[in-house]
Amino acid sequence: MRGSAYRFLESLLQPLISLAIAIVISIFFLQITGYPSLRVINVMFSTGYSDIQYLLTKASPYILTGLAFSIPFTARVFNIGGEGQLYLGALLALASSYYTGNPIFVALAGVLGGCILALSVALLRIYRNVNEVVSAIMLNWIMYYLVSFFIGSYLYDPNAPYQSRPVPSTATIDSNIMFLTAFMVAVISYIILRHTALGFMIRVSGTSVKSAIYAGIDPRKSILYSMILGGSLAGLAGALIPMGVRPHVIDSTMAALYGIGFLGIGVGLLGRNNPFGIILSSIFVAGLVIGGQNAERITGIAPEIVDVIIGIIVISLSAPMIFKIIKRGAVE
Amino acid sequence: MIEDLLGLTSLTLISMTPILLASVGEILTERSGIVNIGIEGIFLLSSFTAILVSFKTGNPYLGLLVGFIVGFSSGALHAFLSLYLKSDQIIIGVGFNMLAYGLGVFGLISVWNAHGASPTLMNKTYTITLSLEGYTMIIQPIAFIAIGIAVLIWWILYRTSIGIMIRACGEDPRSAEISGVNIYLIRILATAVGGGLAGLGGAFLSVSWIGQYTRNIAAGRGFIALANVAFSNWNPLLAIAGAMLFSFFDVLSTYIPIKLATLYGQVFIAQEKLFLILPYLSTLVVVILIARKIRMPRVLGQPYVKE
Repeated sequence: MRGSAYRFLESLLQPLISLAIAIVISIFFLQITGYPSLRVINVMFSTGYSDIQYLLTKASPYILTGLAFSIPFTARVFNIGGEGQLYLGALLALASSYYTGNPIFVALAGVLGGCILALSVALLRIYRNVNEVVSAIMLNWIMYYLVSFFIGSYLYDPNAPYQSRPVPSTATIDSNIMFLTAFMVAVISYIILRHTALGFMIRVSGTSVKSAIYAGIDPRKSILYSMILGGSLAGLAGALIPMGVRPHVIDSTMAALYGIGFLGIGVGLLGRNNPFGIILSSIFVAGLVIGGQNAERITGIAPEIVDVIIGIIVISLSAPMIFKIIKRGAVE
Repeated sequence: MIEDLLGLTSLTLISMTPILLASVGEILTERSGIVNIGIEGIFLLSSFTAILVSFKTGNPYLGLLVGFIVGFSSGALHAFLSLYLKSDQIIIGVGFNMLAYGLGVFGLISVWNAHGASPTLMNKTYTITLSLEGYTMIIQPIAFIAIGIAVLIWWILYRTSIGIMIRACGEDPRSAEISGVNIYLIRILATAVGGGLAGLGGAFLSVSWIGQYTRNIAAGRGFIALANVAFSNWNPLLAIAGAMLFSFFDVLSTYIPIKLATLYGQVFIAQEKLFLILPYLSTLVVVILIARKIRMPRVLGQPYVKE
C-alpha cells in the first residue's frame, strides 16, 4: 500500500479534509450570524462551476500567482509579494501595450515587472538579511499606490479618467489563449522543478539547507532563482488580465487585480506546491470566487466569505498533526 | 508653524499607539520562540469587534476590552495550532490574515449593510485637550498607557524570573525544559498576551482613533509592527522609538497632501497616492538599513518537540 498510488491518494485527501473542515466551520459561522448557511454553500458550489469558459478564464491568473508562491516556497522562501508583483506587471504591460501593440512584448513587459520586484526581495534577503515577508508586504502597498498613481496621472483614458486606456486590440488575446498560456506555464514549471538541475537545486535547498550545502549547492542561488521564476509568473498574470479580460483596462482602484496575488498563496498550498495540483486548485478556487459573487447576488452575503473559507483551508492544511490524528483514527 | 508641529506630534502619538502595542506584544511572543505574523488579521478582527461592541453598548472602553479578548484568543489559537498541531507558524499567520480580512468585510456587510465603512462612532474614548497660548493639542491618554506597557514588558523580560524563562524558551528550549520550565505553558501565555496587546491596538484603531471600521482598516500596520520588532532588536524600549518613527511617516503621508491642498487650494487626487507610499517606503528603507545588525531569538518559528 505504500506505492505511488497511495501517496497520490493521500495528497488528494489532505486538501479534501481541509475543505471539509473549512465548510463545517463556515456553516457554523453563517448559522450563528443568521444567514441561510446551507443555501449559501449550495449556491456557491452549484453556480460556481457551471460556466466552464468563465471558470477557466478566472482560474488562469490564479494558476500563475499560485506558482509564484509555490516555486519559491519549494526553496523555503515565502513569496507573499505576488500581489505587488502582479500590480507592477500589469502596469508595465499596460504602458508597453500602447507603444508596441504586440501581445508577446506586452506579456514580456509583465514578466519583467514581476521579476524586478521579486528580484529586489530576494537580493534584500540574501545581502541585507531582510525578512522577505516584511519587505514583500511593504512592496505590495508601495506598488498598489504607485500603479494607482500612474493609472490616474499618465495612463488614464480621457473619456473615463478613473481607468486606463484600453489595451490596443492588436495586443489583446482570446481568453482561451489566456488559459492555455497559464496551463503551458504550469507544465513548463513542472518540467523545470522535476527534471532540470535548477529544479533539483531548488528542491534540495527547500528540503534541508544543510544537505544543500553538503551537496555543493549555494542556498542563496536557490532563493534568487526561485524568486525570479515566481515573480516573473506573478508579473505575467498581471499582464494577462488586461490583455485577456474585457474591457481590457485597469481602473485606478485596481479592483480587477486586488487579491489575486494573495489568493495565489491559498492556491499554491492547496495544490501541494505541485504545478498540476495548482492547475486543479486554481480551478477550484476560481469556482469558489465565482460562486461567492453569485451568492452575494442571490443571498446578499459578502463575497469575501470566500476569503474566510480559503483562510480556514490554509490554516488547516498547515497542521500536519490533523492528518496524522485522522489517519491514526482510521487505522484503529 | 507651531500649530503644525503640535498637530504632527499629537497625530504621531495617536498613530504610534497601535503599532507600539502590537510590536511589544509580538516581542513578548517572539522572545518565547513563536512567530505570529497574523497581527494584521488581529488588527482587523479586534477593530471590528471593538467598534461593534461600542455601538451596541455605547461604551468604547468595553470595545477596547473586547478587542483585547479577541486578540488574546487569536494568540492562544495560534499557539495551540503551532505547539500541539505542529503547524507552520508563518502559514497559520498568512491564513489567519486572509480569514480576518474576509470576516471583517463579511461583518461590515452583514451588520451595517455597508461595503466600504461602518457609520461613525460618536462617543470615542476620552481625550485631553491642552490649550497653550491659543494653540490646542489633543492628547490620547492611551498613547501613554501603551508606552507604560512597553516599559512594563521590558521590565518583565529583563528584570523578573518569568522574563528569564520566556527568553530561555526562545533561545534554548531544551535546557529550559531540563531546568523545569513548562515550555508550552510559557509559549501559550506569551503568544496569547502578545495577541491581546495587538488586539488592544486594533481596538484603539477603530474606537479611539478613526471612530469607524473601514475595509482593510489595518492597511499594513500589522506588518509595520513586525518590521518594528526587527528594528528594535526585540527590545521593548527601542520599540517605542521605532513606533514613533514609523508613525511619524504614517502621519506625514496624510498630512502633506492636506497641507498642500490648503496652501494651494487644489486637491491632488492622483498625486496624493504618491504620499501614501511614504510609511511603507520608510519602513522598507529603515529595515534595509538596520537588518544586518539584528539578532533574532535562536529558535524563532521552529516547532519544539517534547522529549
